[in-house]
Amino acid sequence: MNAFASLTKKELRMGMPVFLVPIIIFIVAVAAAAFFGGRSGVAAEAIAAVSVAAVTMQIFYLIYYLNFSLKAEKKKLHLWLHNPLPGYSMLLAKLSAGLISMLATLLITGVTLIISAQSAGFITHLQNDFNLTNIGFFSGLHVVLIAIDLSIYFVFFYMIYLLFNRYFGGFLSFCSTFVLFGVSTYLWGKFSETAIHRSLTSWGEIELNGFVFNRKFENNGFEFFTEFDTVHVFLGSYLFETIIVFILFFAASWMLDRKVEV
Amino acid sequence: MIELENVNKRFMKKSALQDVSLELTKGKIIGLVGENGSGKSTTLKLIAGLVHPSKGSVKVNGNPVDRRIASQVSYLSELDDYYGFYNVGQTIDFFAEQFADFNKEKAEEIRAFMKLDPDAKLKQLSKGNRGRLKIVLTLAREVPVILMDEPLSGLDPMVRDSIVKGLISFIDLEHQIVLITTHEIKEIETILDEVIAIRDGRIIGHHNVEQLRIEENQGIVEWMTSIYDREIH
Repeated sequence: MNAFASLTKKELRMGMPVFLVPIIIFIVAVAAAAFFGGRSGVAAEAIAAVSVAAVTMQIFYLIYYLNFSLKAEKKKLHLWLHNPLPGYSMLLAKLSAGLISMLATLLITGVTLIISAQSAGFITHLQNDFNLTNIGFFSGLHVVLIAIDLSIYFVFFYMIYLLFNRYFGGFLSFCSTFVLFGVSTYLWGKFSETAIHRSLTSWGEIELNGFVFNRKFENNGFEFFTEFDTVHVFLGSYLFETIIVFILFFAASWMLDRKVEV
Repeated sequence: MIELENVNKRFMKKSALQDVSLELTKGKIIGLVGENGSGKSTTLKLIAGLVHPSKGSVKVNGNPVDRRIASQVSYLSELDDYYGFYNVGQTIDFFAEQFADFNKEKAEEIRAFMKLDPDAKLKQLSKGNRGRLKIVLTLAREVPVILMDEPLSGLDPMVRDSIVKGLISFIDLEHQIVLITTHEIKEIETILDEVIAIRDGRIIGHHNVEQLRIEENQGIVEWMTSIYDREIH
């Protein structure tokens, strides 16, 4: 087994409790939904609602996973950092392990959602109006993309936190990182309102249809469904975010290799 | 092979090393001795690229050091945290996969010498056995530089002597340099070629151990005591 695969395997072993906890919580929540929903005859609807929440919350899954993993590693930095692999490989091993766990969790919550929604009966009605396969694929893909995106921001700020640890104590490092995060978010928000940001992101418009089958509604309903069926995405915004994420990832890797200390 | 040039290291307001310059060549076992907090561990971490100098430079085989010098340096930490979900055998396998220079046969040989059960869970290992595992993992690598921070700490005094004697047989002195920090000076004195004394982050003495014995009729402890006294007065 090569070094990267072996490291990823280690990350998966280390992340096993983090993988199991959300699944156990989900099972308990589904059981509770079935029990309480069943009393009112809406068990499947309640389980579907829990599953929708579980799937949506997974945009934060990788942050949750990496937070545990990096915290565990912080206790034994001498062991983690004493490795000839480049920083990007070490971080990528953690991300890969997180992504594998996330996809497995997404599969469990997603399948539960599909089964409960079909049992709920309202799916038959929805199936007539909506292309659920396209909606599911589009939403699932974006849950994964947003999760990866947020996790890279998290890794970047975690490396800054480790870097601050060189100069301040743990608490002060955390506060300084938090302030830096707040200030950067505020400035980024301001930047995203500028014409420069618009020119960088608002190009390559793609109109995505195929989410709605049935357009034969009354006036208001027709407008609503037409609007819903036309999703505008900009290739520019995807590319821009990808570039930002790559820059942050390699900056985090550089800090890990050159600046972080035991 | 190992060069420290005018190295200063500060941790926040505390100065850990001051103007340290060293040049160490292969084929030697060198002891780095001094009181607690004198800068021994920091020196080793600097060479392992796990901390960075505030001033000055650290080089191994001519290469400026950062974390990735791990490809040329085998480092035994004073801490003995490993991944608790592995057992001894799995930890050896993990290291063998991480380091291209890891000699698994040698690791097995050292493990057997250390009487470590390959199936023993790391969580359940005694401090002494975790210390033995650290030695296995560090010496099984065929690297030019071996750094050992308090390798005897936690080991039963009854077995230290035999382990120290065993250490020498697992080191390839033609190609390796070994830098050891320790408080158990008497126990490792017999295997040391050179000794470096450090105090308050400054190198206060660097001597050949054999010469000390023959020319000055001193052991390391006596030599240290005399230079410490000189420093004080």
